[in-house]
Amino acid sequence: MAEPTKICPYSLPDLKNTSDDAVAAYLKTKSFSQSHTLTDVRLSISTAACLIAGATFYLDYTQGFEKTKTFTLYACVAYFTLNTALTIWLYFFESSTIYVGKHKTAPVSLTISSKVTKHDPTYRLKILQSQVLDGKKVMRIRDVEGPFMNWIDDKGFFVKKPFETWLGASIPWILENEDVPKELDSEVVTASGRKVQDEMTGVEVGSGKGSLRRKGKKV
Amino acid sequence: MLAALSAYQPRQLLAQVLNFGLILSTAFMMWKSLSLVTNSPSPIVVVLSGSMEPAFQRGDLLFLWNRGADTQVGEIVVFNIQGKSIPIVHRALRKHVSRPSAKQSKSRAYPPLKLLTKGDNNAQDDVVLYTPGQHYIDREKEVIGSVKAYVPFVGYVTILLSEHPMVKTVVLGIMGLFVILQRE
Repeated sequence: MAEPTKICPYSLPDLKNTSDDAVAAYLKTKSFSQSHTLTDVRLSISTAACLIAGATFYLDYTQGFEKTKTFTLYACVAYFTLNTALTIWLYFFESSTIYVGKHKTAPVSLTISSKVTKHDPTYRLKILQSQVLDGKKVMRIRDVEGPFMNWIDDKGFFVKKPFETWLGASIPWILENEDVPKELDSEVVTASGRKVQDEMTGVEVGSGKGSLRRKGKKV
Repeated sequence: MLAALSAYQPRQLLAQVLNFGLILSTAFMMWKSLSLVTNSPSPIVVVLSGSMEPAFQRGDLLFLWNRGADTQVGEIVVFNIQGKSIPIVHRALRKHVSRPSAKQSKSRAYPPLKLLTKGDNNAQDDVVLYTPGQHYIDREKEVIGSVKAYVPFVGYVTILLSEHPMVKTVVLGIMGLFVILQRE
């Protein structure tokens, strides 16, 4: 993107949508490929319903009411059936899911749903991670939340680093296998007792274990 | 605004357009369903002239029902003259029931019923309004329904919109823009 995204920082839907999009963008950089099946089903049901309505409108406009009565009857029944199907689909299957995807090489898949309650500027994520550990399928669930103001400033600009740090630390697979740049806090102390942030102000360090795990060494 | 649009990926843009389309489609299909239930091409009409005063004023909303083969004298019917698009709301003054011919029995739902109409506030009956040579209107072919209920004054907005058609286009355009640019 040429210029940084700017949104209205007081609008909860805007905040939620920007963060949802950023989740997908971040996971793409971490070699996860997004599966669009959920969205595609919803789009195809909606398109079919709109096409039926469009066809009814066109036929009624060109041929008049009497001639098209039978077609209109079937079209209305079909339309409202599709509409009900769409509502059921949205309520039960898609609900608040914002991301479904799996890693390109490793056997890890993620399903993430987000929620925002009214008048509360906190972003709540429910992360479902399913991976194959030692031949067994393991499902891990994380419920994380973070205030929007951690990654969206008061002018409405979206700041990537704090968001990606928070998100990376929330997803178990990324936390364990990647070098997540961690913001230094006061608890980090070196062996000789010196506080790390005094020595290296503003430098980001990772857990360091990612590279070892990738080489297959025990950590 | 174009920058906001270009920030959308194709799926999101399609989802937004479909959202707008679904709103329009649902409204249209509900209208069509009402049309089917009442058997009338236009189940809700607005009174456009003052020919039925003091019963109906200009701008009243009328609800029609078109499944009555047994229209009585004194019922208020809405009809279109062949070739003219404006619906006329007048009272039935006289009726004739003819014996249907063989061809008519096949093409009609009930024996041909002919009505002579007159507006309450008019001096003459409607023969001057019918096509030249026509003395009665056909209940099945020209009448789009008889009035079952009405709401006063609500339809005045439609009259304003039809007399200034640009307003309708502008309002619809602004609505569409808002729905597409807002993701809620």
